[in-house]
Amino acid sequence: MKLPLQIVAGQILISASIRSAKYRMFGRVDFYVDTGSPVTFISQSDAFRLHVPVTSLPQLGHTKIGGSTYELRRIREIELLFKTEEEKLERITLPEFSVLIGTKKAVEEIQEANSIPSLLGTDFLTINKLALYFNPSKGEAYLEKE
Amino acid sequence: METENVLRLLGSAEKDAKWLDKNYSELLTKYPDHFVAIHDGNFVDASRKFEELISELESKKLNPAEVMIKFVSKIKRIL
Repeated sequence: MKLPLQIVAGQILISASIRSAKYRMFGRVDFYVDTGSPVTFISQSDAFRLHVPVTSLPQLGHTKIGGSTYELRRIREIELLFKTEEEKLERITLPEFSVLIGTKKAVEEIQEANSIPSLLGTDFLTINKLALYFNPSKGEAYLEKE
Repeated sequence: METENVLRLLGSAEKDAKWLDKNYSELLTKYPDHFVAIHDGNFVDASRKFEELISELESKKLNPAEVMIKFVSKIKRIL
């Protein structure tokens, strides 16, 4: 089973439908696939867009991006659906997800936190046994399940 | 019906990604350091402030949860 990826300005993008009965959430998230990130997370701006109640989520820890520290919060009971090469839906999950939120309150720092995209990291690839194929010179990219 | 809705949403996402890739350079020139909104393969709006862009989408009767929003900047980000 292959999940086609989009190459946008040299970066690898995959869109997923995201839903959760618990958080009354339905929408989409456009993740950048980042093999340099061990953590998959939904960005602050995507969480806002999807009305995720971030302040009530339990804290998972902290992470550093570009010299700034961000908080990770835990979100559970969400489902991601991806479109396969055969135009079917593939349900792929993690037991829990992280939501990234900024820790600083200054306007510029909130804007900086909002500019960070959602990332699909190596934890997601490992747990779901997904291999990444990326050939930028041919414009080909996909995830393949073992 | 539900499957159809999800496939429609993901089909729109595909169009948005293709449009963004094709028009990225132009967006960088017109809207550096802006959040840009794209829906169903069309540019919708841009703003320096994320919350203002969300309000604009809502005023245009678009659901922000179903729209692609990306920050475009000449400064390349290394995460």
